[in-house]
Amino acid sequence: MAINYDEPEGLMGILLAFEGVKDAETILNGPTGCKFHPSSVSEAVYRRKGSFNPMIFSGEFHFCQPRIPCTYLGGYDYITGSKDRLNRLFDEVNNSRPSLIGIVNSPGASLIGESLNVTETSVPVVKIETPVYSKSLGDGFQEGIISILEKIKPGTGKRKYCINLLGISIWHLNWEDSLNDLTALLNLCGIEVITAVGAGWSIDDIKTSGEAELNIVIHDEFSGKVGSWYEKNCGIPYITPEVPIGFDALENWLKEVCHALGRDAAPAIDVIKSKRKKVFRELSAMEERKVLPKGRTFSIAADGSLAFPVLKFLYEYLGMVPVAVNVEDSEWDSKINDYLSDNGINISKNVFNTAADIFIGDGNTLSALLFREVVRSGITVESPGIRQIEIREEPVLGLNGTLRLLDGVLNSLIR
Amino acid sequence: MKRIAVYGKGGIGKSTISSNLTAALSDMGVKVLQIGCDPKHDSTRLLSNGAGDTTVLEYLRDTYPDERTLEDVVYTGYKGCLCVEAGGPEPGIGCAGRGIISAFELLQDLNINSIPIDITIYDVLGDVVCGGFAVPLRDGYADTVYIVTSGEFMSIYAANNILKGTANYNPDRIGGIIFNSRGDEEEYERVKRFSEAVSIPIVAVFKRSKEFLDAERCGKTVVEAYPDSSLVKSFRDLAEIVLEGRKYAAKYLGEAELEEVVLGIATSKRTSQSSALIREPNVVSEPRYYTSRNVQRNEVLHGCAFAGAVSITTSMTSLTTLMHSPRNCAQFAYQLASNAVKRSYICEGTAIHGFSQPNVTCTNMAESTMIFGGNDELKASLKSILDGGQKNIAVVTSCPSGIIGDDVESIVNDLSLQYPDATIIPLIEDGNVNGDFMQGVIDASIALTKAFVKTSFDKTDSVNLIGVKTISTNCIKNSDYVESILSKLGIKINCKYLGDADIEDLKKLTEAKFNLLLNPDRFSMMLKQFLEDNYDMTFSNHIARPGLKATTEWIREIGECFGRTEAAENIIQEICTEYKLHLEFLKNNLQNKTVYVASMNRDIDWILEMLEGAGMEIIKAVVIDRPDYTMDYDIKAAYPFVDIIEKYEINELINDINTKNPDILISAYPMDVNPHIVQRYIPLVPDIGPFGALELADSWVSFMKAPAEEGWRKDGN
Repeated sequence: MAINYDEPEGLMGILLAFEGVKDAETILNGPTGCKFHPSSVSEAVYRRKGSFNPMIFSGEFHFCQPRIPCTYLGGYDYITGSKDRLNRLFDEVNNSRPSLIGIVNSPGASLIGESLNVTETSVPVVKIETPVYSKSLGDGFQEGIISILEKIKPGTGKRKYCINLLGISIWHLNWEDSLNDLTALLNLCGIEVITAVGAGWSIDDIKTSGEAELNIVIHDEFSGKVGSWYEKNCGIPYITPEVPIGFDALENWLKEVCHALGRDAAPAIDVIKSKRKKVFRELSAMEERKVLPKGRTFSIAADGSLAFPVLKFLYEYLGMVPVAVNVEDSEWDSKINDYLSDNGINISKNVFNTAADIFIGDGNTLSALLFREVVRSGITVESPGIRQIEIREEPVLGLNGTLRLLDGVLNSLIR
Repeated sequence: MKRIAVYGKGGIGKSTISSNLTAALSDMGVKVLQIGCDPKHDSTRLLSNGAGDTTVLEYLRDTYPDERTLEDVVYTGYKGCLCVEAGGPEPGIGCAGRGIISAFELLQDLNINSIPIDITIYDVLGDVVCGGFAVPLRDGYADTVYIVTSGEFMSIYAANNILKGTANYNPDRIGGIIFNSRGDEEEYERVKRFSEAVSIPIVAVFKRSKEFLDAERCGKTVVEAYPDSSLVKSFRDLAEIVLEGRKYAAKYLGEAELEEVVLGIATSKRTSQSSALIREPNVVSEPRYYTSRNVQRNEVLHGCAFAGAVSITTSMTSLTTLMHSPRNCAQFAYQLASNAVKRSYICEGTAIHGFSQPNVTCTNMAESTMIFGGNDELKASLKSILDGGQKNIAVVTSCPSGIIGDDVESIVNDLSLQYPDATIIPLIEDGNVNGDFMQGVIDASIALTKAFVKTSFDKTDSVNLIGVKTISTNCIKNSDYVESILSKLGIKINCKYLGDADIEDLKKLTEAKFNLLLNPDRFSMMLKQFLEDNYDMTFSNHIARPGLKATTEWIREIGECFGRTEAAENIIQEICTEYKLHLEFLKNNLQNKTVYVASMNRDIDWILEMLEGAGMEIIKAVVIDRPDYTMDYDIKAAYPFVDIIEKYEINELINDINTKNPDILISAYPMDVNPHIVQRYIPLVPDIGPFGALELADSWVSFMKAPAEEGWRKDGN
């Protein structure tokens, strides 16, 4: 399998776990080289201060970026440490009264044994002295989330028909839109979403998250350990239904969640059915124009929990044929291989050298594949996206996520 | 020259023995340099009478790189011996091992090897606890290791560890064991048993003596204070042994065996000892002369050298980049390339070819690597790439590699010997330990050049573009513009230096007749200096940069150089005509408008030139000094009225702008000034050529026709 070095790993996961808390601030005790990229990612995926203006964040620690100030560990600091700067930065951040402060050592800072002891006030402080080295983004994210939960400690009283969504981070492309879509469908079934754990939740959300009757895992790479934590500490069971993208998967998802809570999925499924009919009419028209997607090829590079349902949907619903799949997680890779092998399909593991009609994945890989003319078009389902600005709701998951995927695929093939 | 290291457990008397040995050798007329490698920096105290109170690491912290000299950290002591103290952090803070590495690198940079010395003695702290303290064991440093021990078990335990550490490098260089007695009657027997078990002789015995204490009270060595004592004779005998230089193989005992041998405790668990040779070639780093501004001035580092180096290596085709790093460092560096492709592709419909599918791999340093070292992983990864048939490989190191002291250079040398057809370039950036992003870019450019470029005396009618900025969105646009002019002159581009090129292009770098600098920044200047120093390459006096004047200058110079003056003048004439025509349009719309320029880039004469040409009134022009742009460019030479602000307060600047009340504010970023002031922005990396400024001003004309406030602004609340 070709390793996608564009895929962020554990340190980014930890930082984004903290950055996913509303009104929180994250301090990186480390060099600017470890700060610049996560800082720009955080601001891009979760717009808060609304400014890229370097002149506003031109102080000692921000380096002209709104998010994730750092202690700018440099050459000599590897010998002496940067304790004084950390204290000063902490005071500066603490004085702005954020909802929570996360402090994370960079790999270099952790290796020289930098202590993260600071004088805490009433603002909760969560520290991670040793970042995960070379582990996955999901591993880092879960480590960050669990450290937050250990600090804030959610309540344990239960509310009927209330759930949390687990496994969506602010890294997931258009995460807010996906959550809105899924929440709207669940609301139709009389189910309330207390919070999406780790994606734009507030301190109050963290506290009330313990009141959920059930936790629903979306992307298991980002939530298996978190689900277990809630189960052990708050008595909340969790289920891992099919990831809700694609009509069948979405309906199954709703049915399983509703079944677990004793609710009826019919109201949401009726909405899905009406959209299915609309798509049917469009596809019928495409058939008459002899431009059906059946038999057209696609490649995909994404997290396994997303790649698999997308692959199944394009294969089963549209009859498109996968030619390359790049999934790093070995369990998902094996699950996908079994599925493809059952259907008699051989694939490449490298999207970079496999020609396809459409690529499904992140915007950077898509740009490179388009530039190299390896694919003709593509749809982004993972961060970073390809568009700088998103005005319309562009969910990746849910009903509108499914329609967005279809819209992208069908329009790109018809060109 | 001999180089010896004196190792031993902390507090065992290494410094006392080292300084007395230095004194004894100095008495014999031997020129000795003693380097203390203990953070408490008292190794040479008895030799230098306290003169050397500045440690190398203090000096590294407090002195700008271009102001550093060897004389400031080397002190003359007893009978002309030379003394250096590496120094280190306060106890419990930072990383003393990293300190040793930094101190040794600085001494190399200052060319300490140029001092005529007969023997260098490294007095090294304690056990070989990490890669930093193992530096003197590496080749290029100590060729003989003496181990000081008492008869205490922990002292012998440390001695055994030192043997193990030595075995991991080059084992055949143990000079012997120096027994420094603590006065315990049985301890000699324990040391003797150990000595026999590891087959390394005890070459000197020092018994407890009040003379040590009395001499120390006088701030002297025993050799100086009591030259006729029997103790001093022992040091003179040791000095003779050191001069003779007999060496033994480092053999060490397993823990159970050590306990059995030293303490007499029987155990069934015997562990084997080995002395596998890991490295041999002699590697001595070259001094660094070509620095980024951050590094030169000890300023806060912007980005890391690791990512800077990777931005160069990944932009080159036919080159594999091996990142010796955790995965996150690899991703942070890789995304520079992939984001650059996305930006360029979306904005310009093109991209740098190397960036679109970087040939990279990473050692994925994990937690266990951090503890046990990354040499094995690096070697395996590198071997795998070589076995895969790759011939050109750059190995770039991250902070963790530097901090844990991985011996990258020797691994590269070792494999270079095994794969003679391959070219492996070690880029020991150690994350940002060795500098900022720009330093990495400079280092990688230089290292690749040294590895691949051979001087050619056959010149072609071609030009090298020096200083291409690979991660700028307009990188290709800029080189395309220059290429379009050159092609009109019948001149080809030989190599884009360095990035967006193939290794084969780089190999023929010196075939170009002429070298054209792009942009007047420190990066370009450093590369120019390097190429002039090492390859005797000829550079243009003028730089390809934005603006009409600048453009006509470099075109004219190239025309003259290639004997195509007339063609060059024709091109200039065409450009001037088009420029003037365009300027008339701007004059009609912008003449007499007042302008305030607030830039973060000194290279703004292309804007000022246009403003003046369009008949606009510049009421003030300031440059806010930032280290990451074109700070060495002398804008005041052409425009003396430009103010350079070293430290600025944003509110003061805004107040000044509001007070001056210009029609237009041209700035680096949006500012919260009075809303009726039209704000327009200066690109970070402007387009090369004359027309960028005109296109910028075109946008002002249409902007001024827009309503003062757009409707969306009312929706913020």
